[in-house]
Amino acid sequence: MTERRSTPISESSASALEWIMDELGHGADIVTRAFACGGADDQPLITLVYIEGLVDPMAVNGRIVDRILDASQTLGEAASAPERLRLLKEKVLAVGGITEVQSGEHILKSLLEGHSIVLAEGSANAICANTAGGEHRGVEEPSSQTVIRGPKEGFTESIRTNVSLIRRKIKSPKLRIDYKSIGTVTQTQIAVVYLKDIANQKIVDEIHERLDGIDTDSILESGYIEEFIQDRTFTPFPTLQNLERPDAIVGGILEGQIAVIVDGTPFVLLAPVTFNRFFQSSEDYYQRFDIASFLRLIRFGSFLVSMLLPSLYIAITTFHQEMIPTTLLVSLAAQREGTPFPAIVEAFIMEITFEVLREAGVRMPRAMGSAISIVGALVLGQAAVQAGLVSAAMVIVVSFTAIANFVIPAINMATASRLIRFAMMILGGTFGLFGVMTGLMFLLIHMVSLRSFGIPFMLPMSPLSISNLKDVFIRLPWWALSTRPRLIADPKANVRQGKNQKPAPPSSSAGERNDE
Amino acid sequence: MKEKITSFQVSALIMFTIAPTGILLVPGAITAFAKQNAWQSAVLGTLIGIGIAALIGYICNQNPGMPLMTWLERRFGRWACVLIGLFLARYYITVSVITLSEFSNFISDEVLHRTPQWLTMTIIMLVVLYAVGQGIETIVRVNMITFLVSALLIAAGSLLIVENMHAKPLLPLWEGSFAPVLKGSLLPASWLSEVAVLLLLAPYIKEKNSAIRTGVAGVALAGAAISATVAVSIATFGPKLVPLITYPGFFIVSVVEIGSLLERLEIVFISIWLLTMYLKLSVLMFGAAQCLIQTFRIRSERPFLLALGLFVVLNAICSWGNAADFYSFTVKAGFLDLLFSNVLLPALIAAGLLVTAKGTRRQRSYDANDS
Amino acid sequence: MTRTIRKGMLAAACLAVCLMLSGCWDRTELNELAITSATSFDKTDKGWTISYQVIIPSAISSGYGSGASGGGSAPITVYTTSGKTIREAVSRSVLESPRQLYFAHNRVLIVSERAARAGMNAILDVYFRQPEARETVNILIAEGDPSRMLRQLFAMQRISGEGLQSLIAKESRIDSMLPAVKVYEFAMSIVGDARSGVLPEIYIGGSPDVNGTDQLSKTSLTARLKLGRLALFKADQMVGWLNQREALGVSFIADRIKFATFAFPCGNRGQTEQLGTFRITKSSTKLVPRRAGDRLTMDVRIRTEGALEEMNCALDLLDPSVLQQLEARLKEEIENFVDEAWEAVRTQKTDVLGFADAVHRHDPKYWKKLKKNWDEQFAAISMKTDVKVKIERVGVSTKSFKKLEEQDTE
Repeated sequence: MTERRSTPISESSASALEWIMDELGHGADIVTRAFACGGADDQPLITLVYIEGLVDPMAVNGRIVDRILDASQTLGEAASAPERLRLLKEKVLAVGGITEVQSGEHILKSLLEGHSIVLAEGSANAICANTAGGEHRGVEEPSSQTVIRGPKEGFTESIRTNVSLIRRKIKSPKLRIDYKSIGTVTQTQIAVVYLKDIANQKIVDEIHERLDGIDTDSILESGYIEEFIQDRTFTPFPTLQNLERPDAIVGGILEGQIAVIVDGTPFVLLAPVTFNRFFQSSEDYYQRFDIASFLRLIRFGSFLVSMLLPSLYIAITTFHQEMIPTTLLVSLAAQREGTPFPAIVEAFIMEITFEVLREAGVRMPRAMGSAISIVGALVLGQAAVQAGLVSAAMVIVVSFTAIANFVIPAINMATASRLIRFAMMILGGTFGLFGVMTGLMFLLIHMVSLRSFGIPFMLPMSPLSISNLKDVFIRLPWWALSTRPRLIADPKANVRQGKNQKPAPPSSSAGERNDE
Repeated sequence: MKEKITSFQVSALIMFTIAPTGILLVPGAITAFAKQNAWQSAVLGTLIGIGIAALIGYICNQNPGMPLMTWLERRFGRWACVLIGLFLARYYITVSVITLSEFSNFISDEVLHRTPQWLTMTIIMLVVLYAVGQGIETIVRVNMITFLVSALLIAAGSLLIVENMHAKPLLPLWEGSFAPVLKGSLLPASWLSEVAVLLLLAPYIKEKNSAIRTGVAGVALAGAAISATVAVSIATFGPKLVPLITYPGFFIVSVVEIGSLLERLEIVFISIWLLTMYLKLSVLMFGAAQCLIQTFRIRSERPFLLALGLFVVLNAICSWGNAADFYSFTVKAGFLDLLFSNVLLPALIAAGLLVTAKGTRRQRSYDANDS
Repeated sequence: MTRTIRKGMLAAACLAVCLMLSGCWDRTELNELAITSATSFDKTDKGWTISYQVIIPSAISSGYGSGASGGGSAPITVYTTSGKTIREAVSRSVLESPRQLYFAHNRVLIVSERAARAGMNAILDVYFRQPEARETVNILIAEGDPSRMLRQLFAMQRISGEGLQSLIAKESRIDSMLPAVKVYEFAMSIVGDARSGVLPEIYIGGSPDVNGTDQLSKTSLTARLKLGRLALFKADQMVGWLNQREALGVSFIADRIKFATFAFPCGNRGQTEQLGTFRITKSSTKLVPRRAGDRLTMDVRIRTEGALEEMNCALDLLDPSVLQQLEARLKEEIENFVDEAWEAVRTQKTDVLGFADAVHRHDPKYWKKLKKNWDEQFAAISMKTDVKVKIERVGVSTKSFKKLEEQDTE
């Protein structure tokens, strides 16, 4: 970090202004406005400085400029510079956040954060009025994590808005929001949000420690932070969640997780996180528990499919043909007649083609999206099979794998399975099922040894925690989820709701009485 | 000693240290002795095994939570510790070599007939070393997941094979003398004596003084698995056919046919079995490595592990010329080695502990004062 | 940091080695396999002659691959090789088959009577030694050249090996005359206490054989594969045949009846022209050996339930006494089956009825004495049958059609 200097502010407004302009390189968006207030023309008593675009123009015009003009007489009659400053602060400026600053660096920082600076001739202090504003994307429906039932609001790029979205959902004095800025150049604001007494204080301290340890020039997205603070780098699995939905973040905070909001991105990090959290969608808690449980099982199944299906197909068709029922084997064999490549090469060609298509689909302007799908469907699907380049079964396997991949709610977990898939295919093509099982064993050892901020990654499964299992593969009805997940939340704040809340029909037949 | 594991986890780990090779090789061997009463042999063997587990557990409970070798050194002095450490390390290395050979023999018999064994052995060893390198906590946790999966699979499997089972081959119950049953029980008992690995695991257990419970539960689980496999294979194939089949445990599943869709299911069972086999080998390698590391206070564990792995692989490749050599070694020498290292040596240690018991009491009170 | 990177590089190197090595050893593409659906064994003076029925996938599922369309070409092809031992003969197939023979999907094993009389041990040994071969294969016995059976086509089942298997499996399930015997079951029975076994026979009824798809275009095939008699084995050698009636009797005694349908005289005693049909839905048999001095008596207790499926006698089936009478006739008929079977196996001195197991279980000590010359002892047993039949249902119409006719004429 650069060492903190402290430059005193010149008592002369003009030289102070010149210093500011020099430091900021005479940018065209820096606006200065001088108020004579009865003083000499070339020596205005009050000067206002702000950066256009970072401030809310309504606030600057209505609350500062207007008020100063109205009170110019009083200000001009003020006895001394400090007196004038006091008047400005207490009577004139109609802005909530006002601070008096002494150093030039502070002025620069405040300016860049969208504050307006009021300089008074003859005073070594300046007033910072918080007028931050400017153009922002409004709160919209999240684009990457959509639900059918549930709140439709999503985080935006503004950290203020994001924090307020969380505050609005948790009206508890225990909600703690610790701000810090990281990045020597970008000075990006970061907020660590958690519920005191519910989040585990050790983990909160750990997160603070890791965040404070970051020494970099820039943070442009929460991905930067994630890579700096995760427990292990050489792993395909993410150990932090990123979410675009305030309700999901709040759900996590209520279970004792800690959110890290980064200014400039709608993706908020959530830690510590266990493997199963990547398969939960906030919608699970809004829908009926039966369908939610079913969908969870489908998601876990899809994860396995998307990781293993091509490798299992290769292993079984080239090593363990005895496993396939005869009729199926015969029809698979018939499809393979005349296909030129071995199954593993065929699978690689198809998988890589699919990855290319997928990447093209993401990068392409939206208008051309339909073209991609036509080319993909026709070229990859039908034509390749008809030309005898690949077998139809392989197309089915690859497309089902691809679709299964989209079922996983967390995209970073989905990409993990995409990468692992290729390694598994090599193992399956070399050693058959033995290879696949060896790969799985390796993966299992790896996943079990992973930790997210000290919490075992595979938590409810291993180490086994029966009470946590009620919200992993299945979700029990809300009234049965009476405790927070063990180990993540503070053990003292384990109980989250009363017991015996199972609803039941009224004991007296109220309905019948109404009928009479 | 910062890693901590629970008693239940260790029981499950002991089960998977014994059961994988147990269910593979025991049924054929003891059915040859005890015919239709082989399951009684297995049950009897389990009872003997429980006795051994209690002995081991007794020794472990004396240990105030130090690594085994450090503790023994304190009790018996440096030279006795080095002797025991070397002997145990030799034992674990031998068993690792045997298990690795069995594992890779099985794979080349059943799955990959033409892949050279040195390659399968190397791959197995790489995974095992990775597990051992991650520490006992990781091994135990992987074991827990495998335990859950295999429990589900076994439940499903037993539903499927019910149709092929008959009570008739298990009858008559008490035919002939008890001698063959007793003789047959020695083999499962010797397998179950592998519970001695608890000596190394006990210091990591969270619950104090739970070693006896842990060991007995682990042996009971493994013994139940072996006995059930024996009983089911006899009920399915009859006492005459079982000794003829190399791997009866899997053969049971291979005869399951449900319509034309579900058949040849043994490969699914073999796949899960592979996982348990990895665990077994990991535990044994962990034992070998820990014995040496603790005895000689080795600092740089990773290069040492790599060297140990290489040593075991080379040993497995070069030791036996053919299947008959290997078989006669495991049945004759291996059997004795198991009993000696897992029963006799712990018994000696227990005797030593009793003799030096006075010393401990003094030391314990000293420790108590110290803290 | 550098250590992890070095480790990563090591892992990558290993992976690369794996990749380079792939394509060797055990990998077999589906189009390098000759999937065998049935095999036959014949033994001559020179050694073994083995035939394989190999599936031609492209002929079966049309529309894909090299453009070979289904319909026209035969779905299977048959290779025949010979050698001094079984595996030698199998390995000779390399000389003529462009693809590797693959036996895991083999469904049936047809053994010639000649080979069966010489002994099945060699075949069983091969089956238990080879991991690839399925022990769940059904065995059939054929009189004469067994490879003829492999060449025969089914009208509906394109893979004839599978057709053969479903033929015998279905028969043993719904008619219980001939049991479907798998390799491991056969092995179990011939090493069991009785050292004997049974296998069903397959033969071709009619001529000429249906060997080409052009013959399949007709509505009635000139020849069909049919199940015939039951072959009796003493140890691993075949000793004789039982006809289907005797085979049903054996099934009754050996408690192998799942379902069975047979005709029986429904009129008064002695009348045999008028027949009814009975379908067994549930049957169990208990063998109880009893010792009287040196003689062994075997009580065969058969309990059978079932339904009337056909009735040609003029009887009122609502009358309980009529049902009792019918049950008595059924009992007689079943006793006939059992007696005929008993006579047949007794003359062969082959215990395929499960008597040895029953004695062994009932009285292990006595069994030790009998064990040495069980075949003789078996022939000397006197058998007592105790049959109870229960007619559970009589069908939807309570009176026979004939009865209605008689009422009308009255």
